[in-house]
Amino acid sequence: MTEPRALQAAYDALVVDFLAPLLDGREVRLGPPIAPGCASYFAQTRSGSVEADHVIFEALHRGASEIARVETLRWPSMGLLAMAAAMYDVLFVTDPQLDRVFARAARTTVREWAEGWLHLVGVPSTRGEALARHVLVERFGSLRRKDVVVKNWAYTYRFFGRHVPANVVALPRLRFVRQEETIRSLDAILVRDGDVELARLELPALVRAIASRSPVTELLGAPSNQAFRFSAASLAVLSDRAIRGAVAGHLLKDEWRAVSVLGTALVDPTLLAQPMLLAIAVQLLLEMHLVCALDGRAHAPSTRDLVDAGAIRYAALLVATFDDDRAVKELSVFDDDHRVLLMRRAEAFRPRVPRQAMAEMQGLLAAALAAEPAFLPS
Amino acid sequence: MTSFLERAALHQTRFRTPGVHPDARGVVLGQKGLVLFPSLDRVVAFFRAYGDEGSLDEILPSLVIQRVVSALKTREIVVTLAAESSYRMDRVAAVARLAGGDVFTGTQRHFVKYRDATSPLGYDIAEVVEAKADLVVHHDAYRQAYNVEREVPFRDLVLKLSPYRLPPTERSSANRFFATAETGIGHALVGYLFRWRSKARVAIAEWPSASAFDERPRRLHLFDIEDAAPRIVTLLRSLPGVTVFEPLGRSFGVELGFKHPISLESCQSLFPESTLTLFRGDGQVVSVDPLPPFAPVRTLVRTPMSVDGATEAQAAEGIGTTESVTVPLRLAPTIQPARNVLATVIPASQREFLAKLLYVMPPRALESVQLAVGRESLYLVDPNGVDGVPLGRFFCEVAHRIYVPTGMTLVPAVQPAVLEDMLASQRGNHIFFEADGAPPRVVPSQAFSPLSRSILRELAGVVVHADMPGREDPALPLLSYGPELRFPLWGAPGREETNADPALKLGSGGSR
Repeated sequence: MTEPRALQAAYDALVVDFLAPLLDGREVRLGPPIAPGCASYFAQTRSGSVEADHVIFEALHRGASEIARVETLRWPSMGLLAMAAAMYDVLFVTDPQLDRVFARAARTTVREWAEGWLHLVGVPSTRGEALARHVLVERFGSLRRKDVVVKNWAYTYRFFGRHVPANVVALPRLRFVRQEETIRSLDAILVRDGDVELARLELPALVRAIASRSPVTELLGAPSNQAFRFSAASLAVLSDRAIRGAVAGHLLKDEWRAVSVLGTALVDPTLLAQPMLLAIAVQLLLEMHLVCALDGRAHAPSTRDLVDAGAIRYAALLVATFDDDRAVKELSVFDDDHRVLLMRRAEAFRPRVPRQAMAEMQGLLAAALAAEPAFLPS
Repeated sequence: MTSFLERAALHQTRFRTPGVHPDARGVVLGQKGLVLFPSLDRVVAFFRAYGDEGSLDEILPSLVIQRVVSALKTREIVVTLAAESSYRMDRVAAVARLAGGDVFTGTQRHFVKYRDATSPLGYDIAEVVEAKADLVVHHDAYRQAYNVEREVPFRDLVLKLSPYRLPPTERSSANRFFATAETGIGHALVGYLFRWRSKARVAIAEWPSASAFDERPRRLHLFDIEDAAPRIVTLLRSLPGVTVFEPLGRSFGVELGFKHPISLESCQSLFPESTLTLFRGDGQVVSVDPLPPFAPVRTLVRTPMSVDGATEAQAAEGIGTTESVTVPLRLAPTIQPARNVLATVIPASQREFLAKLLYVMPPRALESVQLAVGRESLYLVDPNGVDGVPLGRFFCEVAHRIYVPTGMTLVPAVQPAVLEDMLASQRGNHIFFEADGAPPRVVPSQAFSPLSRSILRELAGVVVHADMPGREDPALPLLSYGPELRFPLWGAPGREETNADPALKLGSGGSR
């Protein structure tokens, strides 16, 4: 059994030395790796630094509020701690000094620990938790490492992610000391040229698994992910009106690229088999139409926009909404002005939507309406 | 440019749009103009803007407002009018765009978008589509067919709109007013207006009972008042049951202090001269049709009659034809208690005392006391009584703004009205009779201002900036590994506790 003092030190290393600087934009310091066996202790303890807790809470709250309105969020929470511990262990594995005898095997063990931490992370159950996870993942993605190579007339020293000792750069003129500094992003840290052992560990896949525990990140990154599918977690957070509105507004920055992916994900067989979940995905797409029309972002659609099946489904969905009597009745809650704007957008789409796509969306909309009658965004 | 419309070219004579042709300027024009609004409030905004800048009377003969419904069951409002010329349509289009409407032109069913900056000569339809609808509009962004649901008469629209309250600065000072009074107060008003010699006429308007349970038809006294003094208008407005209207035309008016959303002066043809339409501030409309005959109030006042012939007897004795006698007006001591002590005159030498007194005067006194600064004296007037200022010589008000020192009175003891008439040339100013027999001093009313404002020095505020503090995004974090260990996993915490507690998998950390 590990002594409580060591467990508390590990907790402080995770919260005070890793998480707080990560969120606050300072230097992140890694200590020994942390095994998932600490989870029971972590669930009960508190950090010794009130300031670190304050910094973390403020950064999470601030980042979350930039996405959607949030009253408060819970810190510390086990989900966030487990994600942070997984990140911590992944970064530990990237240390180039581990590429030596008696240390290489530790990489595989610590990677397994990171996976173990991930198994502790469930679906976020509150808006604050979902947004906080996104903030954490986003900050993790912005992590960098400074690699320094010091050369003198006789030797070359490499300090990857470590400070250069003063004696190495002493008497620079006499010893012809030269320094080369390289700032590496997280992607470059995870895969190093020539390190076959590191490549075998597949750290990028592990980082993607960490990011997948944040449904908001998954949704906001959909436009650049051609393999995007609506997961149960992402649909769960989309059922929250505030997050759905924020996601819709964010995706509209590149509307047609986003709807190309979302339209394809809409007809995923697993989604079609569950009309309740389908209704939530439909809500997101209709909310995008609504925000686009009411914010005046809409322009007359051109052939260039409706290039693929996903975008055509997106357009057809709005037209089908106006063709469905139940949906039209739902639309009556809007002001006349707003309804007319939506209607004109639908009419602009109508000539460009193939009949087959219309029929497909009419069926899909009927299924969604049957599952969730009051489903239109208000 | 989408495929719904094509731009019209110069000298183009054939169009696919039925019933349009180029006018003298080459602009594509049909016999009618059509403005499509998403909601009724936009229509009102259109008529407000159009009426404020021009005359609605010129478009009223051909104006039709219709509520239309599309195949998608959305309802919109269509305003149709005779196009006549592209000059009129340009003006309609400019105002309609301001109000959020789309402008079209055509003759029967098909209406094409009217010209705009993109196509100065107008548009033509790319292809005519057959639709079973009352009208089809062709816009460059959409094409929509509508069926007419019902017509909204313009007069009904005007009568249903509620006037809004005007800020005091925008209220006009008219000379003529209409007033309505309930029958209970009507006769009293007739007598009142007669006593103050107002040029007023009165009539009784009557409406049939709204239901069989009403005891009698509804009646109102209607007054047409000319050259009414402001105090009379103020009094009438304050009376319950009396509503004062400002006439905008010969046969319509709006309650004083209110304004109708649509400029009624620009649509006078809605109100025939044989009727009277009055818009109350609460949204009710008093419509009198036909207009009853008006009679001067002097013909209706109840005159007391004597039967003993005394008036004739006095006339026979020649009373009232005496020679004129003039006597000077003087001040004389009196033992009557002082009443209406409303002013005090303070010598200029006591000005410092007055300044010190300011610090102990109650706020209410400071608010109501008016001060005029003369070369030798300071004049303080307080309509609530100036007894609270223990300085100077007190004056009583014997007539409106005419003051005599306390303990004295004017002889002969003339009535206040006589005094006011004698000093009619100084009406509005304050007149102080001095005890030394000198001619009365006249202090212009403009010289008076609130006491606190006259005495206090100017205040200079210090501007405090309360801008939001600058906010910076956090810098990008930098990774730093710990000290190099020979065996990295030695001493790693939690290594012995191999299995994490499955109950911890709660996502939001509810276990904490």
